[in-house]
Amino acid sequence: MNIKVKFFADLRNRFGKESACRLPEGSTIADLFKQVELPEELTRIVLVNGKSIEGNMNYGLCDKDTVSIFPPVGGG
Amino acid sequence: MSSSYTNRLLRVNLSDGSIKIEKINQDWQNKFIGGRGLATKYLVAETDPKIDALSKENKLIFVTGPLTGTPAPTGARYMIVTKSPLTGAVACSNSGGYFGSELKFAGYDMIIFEGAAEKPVYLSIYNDEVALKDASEVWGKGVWETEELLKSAEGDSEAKVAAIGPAGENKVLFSCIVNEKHRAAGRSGVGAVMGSKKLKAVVVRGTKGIGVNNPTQFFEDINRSKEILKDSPVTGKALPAYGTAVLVNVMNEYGGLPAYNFRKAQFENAEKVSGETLADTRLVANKACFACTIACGRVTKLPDEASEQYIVSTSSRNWKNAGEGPEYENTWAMAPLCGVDDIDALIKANWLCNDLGMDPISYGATLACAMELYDTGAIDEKTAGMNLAFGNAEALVKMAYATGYREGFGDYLAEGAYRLSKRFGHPEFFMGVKKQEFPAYDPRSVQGIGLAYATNNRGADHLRGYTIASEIMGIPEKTDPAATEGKAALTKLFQDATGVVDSSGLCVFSTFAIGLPEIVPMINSATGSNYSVDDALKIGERIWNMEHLYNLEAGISGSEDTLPKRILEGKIPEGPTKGMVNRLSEMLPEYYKLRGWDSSATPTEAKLKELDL
Ligand code: SF4
Repeated sequence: MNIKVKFFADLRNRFGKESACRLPEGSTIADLFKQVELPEELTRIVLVNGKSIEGNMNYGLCDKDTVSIFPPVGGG
Repeated sequence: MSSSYTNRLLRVNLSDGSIKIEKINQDWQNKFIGGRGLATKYLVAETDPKIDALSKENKLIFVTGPLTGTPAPTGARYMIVTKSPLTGAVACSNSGGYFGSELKFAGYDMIIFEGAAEKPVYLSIYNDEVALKDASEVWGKGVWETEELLKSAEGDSEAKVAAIGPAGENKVLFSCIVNEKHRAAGRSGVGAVMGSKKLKAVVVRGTKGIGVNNPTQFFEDINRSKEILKDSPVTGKALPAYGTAVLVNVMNEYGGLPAYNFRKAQFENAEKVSGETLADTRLVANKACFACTIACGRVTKLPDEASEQYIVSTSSRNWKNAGEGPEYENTWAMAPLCGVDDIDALIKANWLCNDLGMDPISYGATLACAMELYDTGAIDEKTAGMNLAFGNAEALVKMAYATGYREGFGDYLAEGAYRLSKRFGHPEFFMGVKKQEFPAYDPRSVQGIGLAYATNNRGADHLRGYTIASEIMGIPEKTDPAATEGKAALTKLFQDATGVVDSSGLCVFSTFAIGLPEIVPMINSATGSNYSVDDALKIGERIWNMEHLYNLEAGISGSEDTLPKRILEGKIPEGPTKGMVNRLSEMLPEYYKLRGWDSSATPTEAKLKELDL
């Protein structure tokens, strides 16, 4: 299946703004992180189609999902 | 006993010109720590909550905390406490930079201004030499020029200046007080109170040191905090690199970035005005307030071609020089909320707000409300004086100027969105609470922040109960933004804890990494107090209740602890949070119960006794 991955803040220095990934059916966020070689500890907020996975790395992905990945951030 | 308090306040009567030095009430200091809590206690004790905020009966208090001016990380803050002309509620606006620390170096914890001057004046402080001086030369001038002129009048380039601009003089209801040109005590119209007193500026220079009670312990405590702030990816990395505007993309991807006056919760061109784009294309350097190891400030510069666009005056403003900002809130209010995606117009409008002395959140939000009035035909080009279609970048810049000077339609904008929407027959277009405009998080997408907005003592505002830290960022623990369960307790905890941070003189952004277990020991070793974390939280709760009682007496009842219909019933039309509304009724009764208030938001006798109020 095809997954769109969007990176933000300093993750862009390493992964660019966006990438298109192909993953086997039934893949999870953990599988995606492995494929793009992204260590989990660099991230804090992971959204699938805007919905937070709330730390669940076994969150199952579907074809054409958009995954937005942020490092730990704060603001006001 | 050596302490980081100076224990002195300056009382300046602008009506008769008298200036007195008084000893700070020690009992109140113990009960409220300093800063926001202590100054509010003075306001409550010395004024009637029912007064007109712009009358000479109102008082304007500049206050620091015990950690202001010390090397405690982010110990830069001072606050303005007064009655707000925008909300009629208690106002407390907080600013960083170098003004607050300088006031401490001059030997004062606080200045209370009372009465009103007949002619424009400024207060000049050089340690123990304090005088009211004629400000007619700078009256009418922008904040930036005022700062330059007053520094040279005082013959001291190291002096720190907190001033109002034309917006404060013209009593724009959301005007602010600006120090070092770009740092503002921003919300609730504190600048208009200063303007009503004909007080243009406070110029301060201090050369005294600040003592601490237990230096060895204090340096141990602050070094521990500094280490934590450095090691945190938020305060050590994200904030210095991208500033607060890093949140534009976060909130947008999540579907919690209000756009087009809250008609939507996502902005299609958010990337163009994001913190990442700002850092990549317009950022010159980051900048820190006094003693801050985070340095979230943005020094920015416009490209040459942009500096020639949308020129609004021929005054001394040089758009080719670098300026500061925008931060997340300013970006949101003046860009997505107005449908504007031009980063240079945004930067320019932000600088204009700083120079005019105007809160960019309320300005952007009021313009967005006007744009909705225009979009629905409630006002036309003739009334507005120009095309106010959503997305019009030129209107963003030009209306800022018109608002600060109350020219043409700007005179209506200067009254804020609540009064504007009512004037033109659409009160339902006002997006805020207690007459103050919302900040940048959609309370339909994030439930807890909706409760924090509804119950906030200074009207819609994020900084007095920033549940976003938990609901979106997972600090200190992640909670589900869509859930209402547990949000009453979360909101109360954040509100009470923030009261302590604000009263200490630290910046609330420090709490992305450190918490009361780090902050309370710093207060203790600096002052010689002996607070526990629980004592501090009790003080935070006492401050919250004191502010709330002030509002009740001012005539602001519990019925105003609510959100606009669009937020409670108007579902988000599209995007990841489609269909969501804020479910305030699931949280508010529990919140009142946790606070020890009855169903009309009146604190019970038992609660008041417990808090010694
Ligand atoms: S974190 Fe930012 S706003 Fe707070 S004190 Fe530091 S530079 Fe100033």
